Amino acid sequence: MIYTRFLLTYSKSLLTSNTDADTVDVEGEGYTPYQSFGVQREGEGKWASCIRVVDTVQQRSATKQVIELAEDEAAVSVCVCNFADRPNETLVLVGSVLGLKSSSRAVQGMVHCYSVTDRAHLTLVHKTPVDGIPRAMCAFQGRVLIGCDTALRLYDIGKKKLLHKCVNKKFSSWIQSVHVLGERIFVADATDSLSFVRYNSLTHDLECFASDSRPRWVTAACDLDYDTIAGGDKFGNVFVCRLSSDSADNTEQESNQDAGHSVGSGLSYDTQTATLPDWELCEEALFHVGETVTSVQKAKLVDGGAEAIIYTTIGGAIGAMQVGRL
Amino acid sequence: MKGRLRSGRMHLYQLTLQRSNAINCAVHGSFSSPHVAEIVVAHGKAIELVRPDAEGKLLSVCHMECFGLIRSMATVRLPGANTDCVALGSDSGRLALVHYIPERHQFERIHLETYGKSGCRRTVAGQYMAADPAGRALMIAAIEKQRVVYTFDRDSNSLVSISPPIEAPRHGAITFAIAALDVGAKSNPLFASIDLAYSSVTEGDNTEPHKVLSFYEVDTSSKQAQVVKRASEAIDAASNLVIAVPGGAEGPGGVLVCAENKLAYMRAGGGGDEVVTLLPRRAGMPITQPLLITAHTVLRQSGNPTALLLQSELGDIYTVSFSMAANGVSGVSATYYDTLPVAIALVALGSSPGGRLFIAGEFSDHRLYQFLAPVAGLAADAVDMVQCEADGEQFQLPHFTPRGLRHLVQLDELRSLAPVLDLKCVDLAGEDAPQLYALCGRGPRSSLRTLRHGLGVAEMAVSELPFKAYAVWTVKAAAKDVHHKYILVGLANDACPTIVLSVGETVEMCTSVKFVTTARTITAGELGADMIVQVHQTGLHILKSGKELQHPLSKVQPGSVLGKNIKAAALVSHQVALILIDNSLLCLELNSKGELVPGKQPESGSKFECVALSPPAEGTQRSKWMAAGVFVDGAWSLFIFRVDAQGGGGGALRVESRMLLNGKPLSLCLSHATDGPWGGGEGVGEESPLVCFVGLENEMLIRVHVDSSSGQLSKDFRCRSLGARSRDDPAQPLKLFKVSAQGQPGVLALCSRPWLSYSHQGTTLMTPLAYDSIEYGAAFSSPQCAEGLVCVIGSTLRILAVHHFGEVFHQQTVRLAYTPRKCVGLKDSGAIIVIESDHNATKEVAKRHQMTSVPGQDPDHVDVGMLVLVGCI
Repeated sequence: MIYTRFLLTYSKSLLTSNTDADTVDVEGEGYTPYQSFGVQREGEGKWASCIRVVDTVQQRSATKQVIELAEDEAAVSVCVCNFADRPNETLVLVGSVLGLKSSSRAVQGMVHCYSVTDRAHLTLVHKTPVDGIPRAMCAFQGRVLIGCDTALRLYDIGKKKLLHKCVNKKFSSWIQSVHVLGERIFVADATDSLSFVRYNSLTHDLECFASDSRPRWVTAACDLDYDTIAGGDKFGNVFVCRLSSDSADNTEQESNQDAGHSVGSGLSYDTQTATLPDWELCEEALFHVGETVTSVQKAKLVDGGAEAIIYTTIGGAIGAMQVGRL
Repeated sequence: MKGRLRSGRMHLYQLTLQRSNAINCAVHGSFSSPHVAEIVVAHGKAIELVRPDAEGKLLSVCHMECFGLIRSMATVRLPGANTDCVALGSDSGRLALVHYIPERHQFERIHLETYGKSGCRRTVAGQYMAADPAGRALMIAAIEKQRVVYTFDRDSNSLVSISPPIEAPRHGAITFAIAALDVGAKSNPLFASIDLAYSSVTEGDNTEPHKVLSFYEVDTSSKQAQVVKRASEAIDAASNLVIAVPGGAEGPGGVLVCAENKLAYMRAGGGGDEVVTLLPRRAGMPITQPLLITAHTVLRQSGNPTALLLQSELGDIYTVSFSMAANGVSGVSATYYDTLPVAIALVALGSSPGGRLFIAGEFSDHRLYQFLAPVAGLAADAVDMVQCEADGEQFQLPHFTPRGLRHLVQLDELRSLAPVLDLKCVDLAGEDAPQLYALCGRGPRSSLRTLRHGLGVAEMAVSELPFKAYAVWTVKAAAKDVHHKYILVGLANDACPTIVLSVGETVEMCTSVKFVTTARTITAGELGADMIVQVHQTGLHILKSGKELQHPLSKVQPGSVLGKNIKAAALVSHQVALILIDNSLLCLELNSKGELVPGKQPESGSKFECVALSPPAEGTQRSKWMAAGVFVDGAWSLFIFRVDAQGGGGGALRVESRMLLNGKPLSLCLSHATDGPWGGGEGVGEESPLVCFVGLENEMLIRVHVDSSSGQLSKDFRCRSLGARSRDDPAQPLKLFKVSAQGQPGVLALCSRPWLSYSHQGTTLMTPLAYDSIEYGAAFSSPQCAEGLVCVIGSTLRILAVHHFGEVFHQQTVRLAYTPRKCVGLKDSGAIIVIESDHNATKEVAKRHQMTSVPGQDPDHVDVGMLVLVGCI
């Protein structure tokens, strides 16, 4: 029985780097020269990007697969989708942008579809060009919602590419995040707070029916329940917005009519007026955490425990907020 | 609008799980006591005092919220003081002067002076701060316009007095940096600032902007101190930083002005020509790319003159030294030193070699390095002079090749997640609690960190045992020893229920010392000064210097004092308490002849379940209090008995205090309190109260204070469930063990999850260990592992150690290639998908083809790898 001192050894940065001769340990703990010295600056519009699959089940998490994107293509968003047309398959969608520069926003976006096969191996299915930067994506009723700049688009999967179904272009700056709970869609705009959207299956419209009137610079959001959404902003606030219960009831009835349960007259909104939502979200709670919020989510920290809002900040803080009513 | 506006009805309870660890400024000095090298760092909202210890570990001494945003800091040694205090520039429009009080574990305010509006405004001072090295004056400046000077003095009661603010505004100009010059205590305090008059930069005007270095002298000769502008010197238009050069005996004084690609030395107060040098550049760096200095510190070297350490925006560190002539500085030279992560602040403590260098990282972890003595016979770095042409001018530019660390070695790091770009809280690994997957850092140093609640545990050794083990004990050869000598392991095997291991260079089976191996061990420990007692199921076994000592209680004999089998036991140096199979309690004491004889006994009639003895007070051999879990009158209770000479009247021990328990107690632990005024490393005295930990069979832990003079149980107790099982699993009994943590008594609590109660920064923390479920444990100390745990899990024996006390989350790191942006978990396969992208970069794989590795000249020294970028200018 001999002392075997335990050393925390890090896994190598890339799978390919394991065999390469230049992984010389210059800092004595597994750093490659690339990691120690960084890379030379290549200029504006030059991007390096990859998609990485990391296995968490193993004793020590390890990189399983790395997909390098094309020259000057940058990945900006990712989501997991199950399409109604491909029922036994999980797809991973990665939104990317080509040659993005800070000076111009007129750039080509791209959505990569990957199929997940045996134990999380990604295989490219197809790529679809989209207008604008696909910053936010979310699965919605067997299809996918993609926020491209100011437009919220609904896509279905096709054989060769994603098929565009409908669009709402009425968001003010760019869509920061999209969340879905059942029928309801929650959209966060980068400078214009949160909105509630629903899909009208008769008219094939994405209708914005409620929004927050405060001009918040939202960085992250998550849904708490069907009528409530939490978000974090650039100026260090975490807030909770809610659709009041009476308006929620009304929208529910209208939504049922829209879905064709009662005939005819249910077509209450037209897309032209979708920028003027009929309902306003109420601010239920607001807390200043002091640093720019980078992510917000609803989670249980202990199995069987109560759910809390977990937020993170740019300074590296992780906090939890328990919702309580007095 | 149909919606009703109304005020919020929801209430959020906010709890910070992991404090923000990004550092925005750092200063050094002696804050807690004279001649101690310490660092104060600002975390935006809070300040923290960090002390590197002799072994090179960074100890967090104090962390304090400021209820404001710290923007700048300076160390001030007030006149006549032998410790430093910290001046804070914040968003409050006030100058705060604070000092650290070691007794109270906190910073306290000396002065708070208002000079402007609150908020981070460009015309309100607080962005820049510089303090005179002699502690006479301090300048606090805004980006634009406002500039305030304070002077310090001592009044008649020798209290520190601060002058009213002396305004020295500069209108119509942007300030880039300020510095306080080292002019000695004889001359008036002198400050320098880099200003750019924006009136000189008009739209459409392509002439060079007029950037000046201005000197401000604080005239303290008159009763009312004045600030006088001494001189303004035109400097390079790309100047970004002004650094004070050490003066007096240490150096030439004056300032170093850093601009793109170059350094310029200027004399204090202006006048004379500037002495310019070009910064060496990395091989392969395009000539069009400017190179800026972003951090600096003073490097004191034994045997060599004091130099400056500067860091460039790429992370390369340069030493800057000055050559002297009769009329002042004649030359400045900058040489490549090492490459480190890009820092917000560099802090050098002590002198090279042997001193420390603290790096407050711009992103991710902060690090502590040690300066190494120069390796004899090592060739200096090759400097290539490359002919360059810029603006039609030909000149020679020095180039170097970055290499591994040669002058520094890393000692420790302060972990920081900053910036967290995305976080997912899901159970992907299939554990009992969800894990937090955080995307941290930027560029090539970014990482995916898996966070699990609990203290990280390092496995020092793991070894297989022949059978399943149920218990483990550690024994020292004599009570005064520091390290443990024997490990006893209880095995679930009738033929060999106990095995003995001896601890040396290795841990081996031991047969030379005659422990009883044919009976189940109950407990084992040191007795008196030089004896060892092993309590086994059928009696007591006493060893003196390796040999068995005959003892009347060595075997259970019907009708004798020890007439029944032993179920549980507790022992301290001179006392043994045994619980027999019929739940009666037997107290034994070591008398003056060195014999273990029965002492006073409690009244019969109660059913005892578990027992614990208090640690003897300093200078005594006897434990004063005994805690016991007792079933009496149909309910479980905790009894406190007094067991020293004054305990009990007449024949029986009296119950001094009792408490009803809401479950069957299985394990007890009595230790000294380490929180509140008893924490902080001072010796545990008589005054410190005892804490009694009670482990119940339903995984509940009760923590209650016991008055150490009267034995009264505190009315205020804490009750906590330590189980992490799902509702269907049966509860595991809670076992408690006394251990040592950070040199203070701690308690290891084991049920379905291991927990550790320990003292940190003057408070007691109860934290789970990020480790498998442990069945039985004991404190362990050996020369290789000063403060560890030995435990059994199934049929393995493991030696564990906790390193990062005070940490909330245990981290596992996967390095990433580029800045991570977002991640998503795949629940079915337990994988996480991370997307990474970096601007202004090319692919790492592509880059690799341009790199060739050149082996170092000497395989033994630290410089094992070199990087050559093909395609130099």
